[in-house]
Amino acid sequence: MIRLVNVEKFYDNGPTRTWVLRRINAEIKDGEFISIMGPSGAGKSTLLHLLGMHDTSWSGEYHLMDHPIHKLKKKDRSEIYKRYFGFVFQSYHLLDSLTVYENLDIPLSYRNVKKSERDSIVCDALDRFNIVGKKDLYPNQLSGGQQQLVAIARAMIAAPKIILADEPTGNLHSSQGKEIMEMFKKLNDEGTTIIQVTHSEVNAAYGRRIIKIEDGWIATD
Amino acid sequence: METLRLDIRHGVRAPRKSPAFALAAVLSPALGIGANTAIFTLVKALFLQPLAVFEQQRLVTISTFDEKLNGLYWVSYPSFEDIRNHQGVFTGMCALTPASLIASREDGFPRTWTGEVVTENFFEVLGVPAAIGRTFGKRDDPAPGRSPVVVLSHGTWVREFGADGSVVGRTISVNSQPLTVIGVMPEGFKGLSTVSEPAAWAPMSMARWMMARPEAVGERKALSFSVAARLKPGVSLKTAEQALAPIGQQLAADHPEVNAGRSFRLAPSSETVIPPRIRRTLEQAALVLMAVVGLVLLIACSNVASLLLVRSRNRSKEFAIRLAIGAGAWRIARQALTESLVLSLRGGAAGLLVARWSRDLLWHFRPEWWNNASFNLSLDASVLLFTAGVSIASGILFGLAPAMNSRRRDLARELKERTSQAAPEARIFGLRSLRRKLLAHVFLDSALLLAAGSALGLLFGVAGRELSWHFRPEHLSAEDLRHCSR
Ligand SMILES: Nc1ncnc2c1ncn2[C@@H]1O[C@H](COP(=O)(O)OP(=O)(O)OP(=O)(O)O)[C@@H](O)[C@H]1O
Ligand SMILES: [Mg+2]
Repeated sequence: MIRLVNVEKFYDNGPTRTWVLRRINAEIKDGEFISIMGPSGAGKSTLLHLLGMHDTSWSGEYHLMDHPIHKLKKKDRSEIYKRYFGFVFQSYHLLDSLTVYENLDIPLSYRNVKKSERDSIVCDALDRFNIVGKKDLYPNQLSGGQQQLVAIARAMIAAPKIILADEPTGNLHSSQGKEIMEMFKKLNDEGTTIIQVTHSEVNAAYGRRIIKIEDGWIATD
Repeated sequence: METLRLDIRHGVRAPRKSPAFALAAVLSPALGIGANTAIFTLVKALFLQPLAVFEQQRLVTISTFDEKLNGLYWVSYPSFEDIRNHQGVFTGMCALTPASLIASREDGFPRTWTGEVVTENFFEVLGVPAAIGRTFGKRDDPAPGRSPVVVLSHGTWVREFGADGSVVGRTISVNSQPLTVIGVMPEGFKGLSTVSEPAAWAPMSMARWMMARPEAVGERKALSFSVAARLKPGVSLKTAEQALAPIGQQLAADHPEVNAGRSFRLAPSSETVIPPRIRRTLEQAALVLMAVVGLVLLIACSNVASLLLVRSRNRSKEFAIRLAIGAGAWRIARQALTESLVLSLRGGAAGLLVARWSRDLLWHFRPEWWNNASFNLSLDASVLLFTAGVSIASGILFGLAPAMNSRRRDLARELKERTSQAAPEARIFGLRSLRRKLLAHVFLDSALLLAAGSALGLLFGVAGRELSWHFRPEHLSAEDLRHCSR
């Protein structure tokens, strides 16, 4: 599903060049549940954002199914991203001015889903994540765990093939973290490919495969 | 459509998060749009008001063109009669001259009215019947002094007679002549002018007593009558003007001492609702005013634009999130634009209040001779349309920068988790500088508006004083005489 060939990324700070990712080669198959681990500053988030096409300045090859992402223009990339990806951020990144319901509704509206369909999809999701009672609240009226649940619901609302999650439980109590991992497990069982960055061995155990990154290199796979 | 509604709903809600911002962002365009609306009401009342007559497009004004003086003047009464007797292009021609009337009721104090002495067919040519009673007609004997009658304007009827219907048939003393009131004209009827409403109309048969210099009626050199004519159906203004040329040539041949180098010119009555000489001054004043308020609006727009820019930098994270959950760049730009339109329409709504207030203020500075003009300064549909148009235009104007700004940004950097939040000092500093900016903008705007307002008042005062001189009937005829007596 995803194939990375010699992907590299660096930052130029004046005369010095800092390499963040070095010769990344990886193959990720449909339906995998992968955990990316490694020390702080290793380049995990950078890799995840690269996969999520938020990052544009890197070299190498990135194949997503039949699409050579590295050759595509920004606009085409964002179309593909829209079609296949959902992203869960460490600090939730919900839209503060929208209610829970609207936060779930808006990605669908960006995908031009009709209003009636959107309503039923959003209601299903609220049901599934057990947050029907919270639908008219604003993000700042929710606990961190609830916010992350909404963020995950938002990431999967448009039925993406791949969910990218950057330390999704990083700010949560371990029991809430467990709940979220269970949710990922369920999504994965239903066929969604999941790639998460995590520091926790417990969380990593939910996945079937662990990629360790150190100093921008893949250490073990 | 449906997604647009979503954008609008978010646009309406977004300003709620920062009320100080929203206040400034509404106040700024409100001042700009309000000032423009006020001036538009004025310009509309002056230049765009149609005459309250039947089929105005067929009504033309005839003036004398003098080659030596290179200017347009009114027409002498003998010339008016000559044209009337020889033309074949009009269904009717009428003439009027302003007159100072000293009126007193049986019991009351004398009043000075600015009225008009008109040919008996005046109301017939204009095609306007009286609201109460009748206008001049067949039963009024055209022989001098045989028909002591007068028609009142609506304004006079209300102001001087308390809108009493029984005034028709009553006799009042005008210039020491007992005149019978035979009718009251409908509200808004101002004869051939839109800027001033004559108080009353007396027939030509009473000219001897009503005019300051009645002998002018017989003088070819006295260009003291304003002449209007109604084109026959199918006759164009050009054709009619050509038809008058031989009459002018004949007059020049018959009376070379006065009429040499003079011809007759036609203009649509809509162009002469304001006397040409006054029109120039008024147009210039209006242009200056519009330029001033246009500038105020531009500055208001740039204020809001920079406010929105400051905010859009604060909101870059929000836009990054929206992009990351699948929004296209176009959707983001559209949302920014929608938000600025919501702001500008709110500004426009508040601007209507400002407009009402500043219109009343302007009205306070009006020239004295406008007191009885019965101007239509209401904020009606056309004003609302104008305001909406200006609001939308400014919304697009000040929304453009943030919309463009939302297109280019480094997503990954915005979205990456930061272990340390932005330093608190930076945020406070940002807020402070934003607030300072807001205050400065609002102050600048208000100062500009005040400056514009005083400029308006000053212009009004100056123009008014100059124009009121033209508008006194005795000055009008005196000046015209000076021009004609070479
Ligand atoms: N704008 C930048 N300029 C220079 N270096 C940067 C920039 N952004 C990130 N880096 C560097 O890139 C490296 C990788 O960062 P990244 O955020 O991917 O680490 P991470 O593995 O996610 O760490 P953590 O576990 O703390 O989240 C770090 O060493 C960081 O200093
Ligand atoms: Mg990270």
